[in-house]
Amino acid sequence: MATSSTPQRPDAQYVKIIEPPKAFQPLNLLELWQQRELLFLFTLRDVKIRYKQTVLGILWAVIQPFITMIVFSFVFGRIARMPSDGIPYPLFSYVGLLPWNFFSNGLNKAAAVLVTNSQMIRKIYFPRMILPISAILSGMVDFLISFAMLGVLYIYYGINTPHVTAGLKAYALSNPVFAESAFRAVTANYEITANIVWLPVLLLLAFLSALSVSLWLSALNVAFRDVGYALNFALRMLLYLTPVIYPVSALPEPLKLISALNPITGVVEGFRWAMLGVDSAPGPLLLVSTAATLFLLVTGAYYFRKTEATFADLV
Amino acid sequence: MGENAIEVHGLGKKFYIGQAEKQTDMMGIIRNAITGPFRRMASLMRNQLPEAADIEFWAMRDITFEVKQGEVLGVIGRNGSGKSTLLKTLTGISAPSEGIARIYGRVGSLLEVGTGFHPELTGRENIFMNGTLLGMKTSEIRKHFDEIVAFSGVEQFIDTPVKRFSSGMQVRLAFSVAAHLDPEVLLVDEVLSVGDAEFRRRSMSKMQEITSQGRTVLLVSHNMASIQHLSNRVMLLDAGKMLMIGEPTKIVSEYLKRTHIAPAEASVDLTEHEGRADGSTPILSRIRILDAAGEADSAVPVGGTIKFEITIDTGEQVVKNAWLVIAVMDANDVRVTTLRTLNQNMDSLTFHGQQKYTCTWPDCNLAPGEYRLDIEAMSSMTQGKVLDSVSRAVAFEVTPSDYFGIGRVIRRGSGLIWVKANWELDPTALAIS
Repeated sequence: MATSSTPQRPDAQYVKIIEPPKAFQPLNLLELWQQRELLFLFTLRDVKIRYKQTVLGILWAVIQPFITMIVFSFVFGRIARMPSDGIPYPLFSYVGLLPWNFFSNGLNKAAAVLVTNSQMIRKIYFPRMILPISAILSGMVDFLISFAMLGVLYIYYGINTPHVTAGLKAYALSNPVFAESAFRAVTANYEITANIVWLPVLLLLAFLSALSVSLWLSALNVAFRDVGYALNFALRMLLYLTPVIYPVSALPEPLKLISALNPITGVVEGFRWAMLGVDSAPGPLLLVSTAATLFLLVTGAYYFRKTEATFADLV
Repeated sequence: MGENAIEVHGLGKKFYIGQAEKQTDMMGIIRNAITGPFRRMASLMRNQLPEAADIEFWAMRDITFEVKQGEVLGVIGRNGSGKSTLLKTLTGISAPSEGIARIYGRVGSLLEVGTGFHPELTGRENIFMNGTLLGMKTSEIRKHFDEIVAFSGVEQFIDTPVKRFSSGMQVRLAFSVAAHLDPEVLLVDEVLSVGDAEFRRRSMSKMQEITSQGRTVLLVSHNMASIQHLSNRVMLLDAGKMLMIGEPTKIVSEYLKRTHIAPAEASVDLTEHEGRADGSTPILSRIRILDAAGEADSAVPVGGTIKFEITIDTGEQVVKNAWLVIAVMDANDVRVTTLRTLNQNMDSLTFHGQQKYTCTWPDCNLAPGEYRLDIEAMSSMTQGKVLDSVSRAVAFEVTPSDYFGIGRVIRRGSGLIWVKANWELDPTALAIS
């Protein structure tokens, strides 16, 4: 359709043009930024209603990973004797479960979010991308609660911190009562190191990897409800392809980098490196996983934008 | 002024209609369940959405118009004429298939009151949620917060989850948020018909206030009275095409003429009537208009007797606690009066099989003109109470008469009804002080 000659207007910044969707819809990230208040409110709403009318409330965010940890420790740690980079298996699996749960809970919520909010989508215009983003962001609260629980595990397993170790050693040697636990602490090869400063970056990567997959899934789910059925199953499979119950170091060499094509793999290994100070710096793994994430993120965002215009008609 | 706020050129929207699988027997259902996945995958290979058939359907096409800044454009048309599609396209909710539209200025839209209300959140939280969804800034909502709450009249419950609100309260709160939207261009769909009579009156005057502030408004409504009242121009859509656009009273009367049923038809079969509301159970089967002698006649002189005979047929079904409602509407779509079995001389009815109810109006004092009836069968046993509802079921004409007995036929009189009032001159007040 040829554009007719329209006079320039003083308020041209507010021109809204409505056209059939192009093959490549621009991402329009500016609009997303302008609607950040809405994003915030959606996230807040999700957090507020998540544990409404439950007795245990936010405790569920701790109970789930904690019980999973116990079961994993028994089955994989005790019975299957899975290697764990020399870290007590419960601690090893719990640290791995933190980003994994954030990822899989985020996917579960975000994949369905366009369908569960169909009423809104049919009646009001807003950048739809806000919905999957807020669904994942709201999982951050659960993550932080379960992360706090990690502190308890640290104390239980007497984690080493380099600067107090020397003092601890001296004190323990002078006091036989503590000698045994001090010995354990000093000889343990896990400790809180300076790696921990990378945690915010890893958290951002965890968010981006969940978002990258969710953009694809949520958009596909509008037309194909198969996604809901497939996802449940796929996540259960993916857990075994992610180094949550085993370390990447247990994999044969060529598989190590291939396993990192799974966007969350790098983050899970990165978490252990940051939180437990394991030796294996996950650099190459993180690079591969981040590249996979960025690829899915960009293609997912364009796919989402391309199909966005049909959501209201299909959902 | 004088500049366009909305420009629409050749806008069209196409849908593919899927055909429902018409298999009702057990074997058919099983066969479909087995072959379905393969058929659907095959259609995916052909780059087609499953379920979608090849049937193309244009919900609207070739829509071209302009709206000047500060103008209020009303959009009318029957169900399925493309009104909602036009509005959804302009708001950006769903993309057009062809054409282009430009909207200049901050756009706000209101297709439904209460979108995004969450039952678990409090009134206060929902005001912020809903307001932001409608395009307000949090700071703006905070500024108008007290006004919004006051207008809704739910002050006491503002920190209660809205699931504890009555539906009326929810609607009032939702409308109040919407009423405080402050965009330069407002796109509105049929929102004036919510709440009780008192609230409708208030929202109508709020709407009037909004439209008189020099804002550009595109208003879709079924209510001819409010469309005429609020709009500067009216556009008539039919089957996705723009039929005409122009002066409100002219377009509205043209629309009413088109949807009008010839008054000569004093007996109308309702079983397959096009005015039946979606989701109704077709119980109302016939309406007849009778004169005092019981003869079918669709014209009555002012002051004459008119009878409405409704035949219902529920088949085997027994419906208890039921009642019938006849709404008498004038040519401008204003409800003149309501005749109902309940609260008049009949108590709750029991519908069973075929029954005939006759409503006699002994002194039909409506002003001369054309009227039509909307008929409803209600029951407190059904969800939402409406069993069956047929609008524009039948029309009748009230003809001029010597209503006041003065020996000549009065042709005109303003107002909706004629009243035999009694005038007197007070003989004691003769003295001029």
